[in-house]
Amino acid sequence: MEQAVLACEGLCCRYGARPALRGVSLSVAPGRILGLLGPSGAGKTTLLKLAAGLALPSAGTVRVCGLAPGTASKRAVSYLPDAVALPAERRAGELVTLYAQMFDDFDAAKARALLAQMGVAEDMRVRAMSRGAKEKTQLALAMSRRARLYLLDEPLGGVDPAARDAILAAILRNFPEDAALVVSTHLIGDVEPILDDAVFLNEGSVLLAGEADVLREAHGKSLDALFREVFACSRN
Amino acid sequence: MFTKLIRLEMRAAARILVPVYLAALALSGACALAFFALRGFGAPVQEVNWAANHVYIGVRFEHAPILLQIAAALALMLLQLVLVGGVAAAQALAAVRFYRLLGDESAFYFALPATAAQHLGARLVCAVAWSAASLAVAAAAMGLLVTAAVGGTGFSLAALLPAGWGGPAALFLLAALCALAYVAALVQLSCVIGARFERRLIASVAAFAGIGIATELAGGVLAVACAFAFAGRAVAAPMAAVQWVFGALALGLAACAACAFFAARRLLRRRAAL
Repeated sequence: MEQAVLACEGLCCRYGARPALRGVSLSVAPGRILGLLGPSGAGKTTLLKLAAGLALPSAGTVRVCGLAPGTASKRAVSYLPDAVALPAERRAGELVTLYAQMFDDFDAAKARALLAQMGVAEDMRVRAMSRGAKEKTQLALAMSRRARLYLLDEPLGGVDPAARDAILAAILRNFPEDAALVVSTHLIGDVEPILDDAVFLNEGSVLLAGEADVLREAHGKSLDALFREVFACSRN
Repeated sequence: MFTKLIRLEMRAAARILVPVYLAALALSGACALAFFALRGFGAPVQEVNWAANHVYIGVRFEHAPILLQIAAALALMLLQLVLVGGVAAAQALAAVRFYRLLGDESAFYFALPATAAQHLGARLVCAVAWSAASLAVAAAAMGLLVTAAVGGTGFSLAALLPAGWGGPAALFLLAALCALAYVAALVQLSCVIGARFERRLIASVAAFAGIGIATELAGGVLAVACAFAFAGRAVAAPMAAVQWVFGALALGLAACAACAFFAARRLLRRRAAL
């Protein structure tokens, strides 16, 4: 059996006394796109941070290509955070150069082409960009690496509906076949067509998980409709 | 990755500090020209006063018009402000950049394949290097002024210094570098401690003040204890004694910097997989 690109086993994480994840187990095989779906506070961002090595679990294990999170696993992971984390004083073009210096698998030509496609000027400073432009810049940088695992936290959050299709197309176009992609989002209707697998998270626990087609068939509805049904019930 | 991080930090600081240094040197050049102009009105009067705890070296251009003297004095004060500002800016910039590393930009920096020691070390090296550069620029600016004011008049600063001052001066410079490293490491440790609290900025400042005061007190107690221990003893070679004092100071500051560095590294590794 092919080794999972991302494997979590009984993953728990706490912020002070508040549990953010309670024993989450999942695995993502190469070539698959997993949708991490859930309401705010479900633990999606925490799970992605643990996989990216930006936080530490209080219990359980997480492995990226068989490696515990650390400098080696970070070489294999391309992470897009939910908030803008780029140095504000830098221009988009400078960030491309910076990424090229920092990551051996970074394709600067691809990043420049993506920025141009998304309409982000290379001479614009991050602090002068709109939220959408910042997110597009981050996405262009994240997708221009040849990583084994892409972790995209709300990649469509600050982007207008007209640009979402173009961004999803850019994600699919730049996603290597042997890599895996985990995308967390509220905008299920937009990402549903590209998902191979889905995990529904609520209050740090997995509510529902499986292949997207199987889930759709089993429940007789789209993931978007299923999400609304599941989380409407969980709130009542 | 360590050298890449150092290069990144050095360049980021250079964008702000190099213009400050160029401004300081330009201002110093302007002051030097003013001093040359003042010398045109008559030879300067040099004053060297030794007192119990300090030496005062002054130059008066008493033949020049009073307005020109005032203008030169104001330019000199401005230069001093810029030079002090340059030294402070290097440390302040390092502090602000490290604070941001633990805040908004943490997802960017901590996603890099670098260890906690590499993140801390790169910023420490950068803070010390730029602070030392600030001091070198200040020394160059003041050297230019002294040359302009008294050059060719037979004045020699070296002649004022006691024999055998080279060793203590070198150790003093080493102690100054260790002090810069300690301040930078303490800033890092304070920021890492502060990041564990909801009110990050206040917690960081409080941690810096708390640890700083504790270190000052400990250093003060140690200095008083040493003073009592050596009080009344005849010092056969004063320069050698001064050398010992500066050497011990450098060693103590380096040890404090190392402690702060390893404590910050430990706390950072509890926060993320670094």
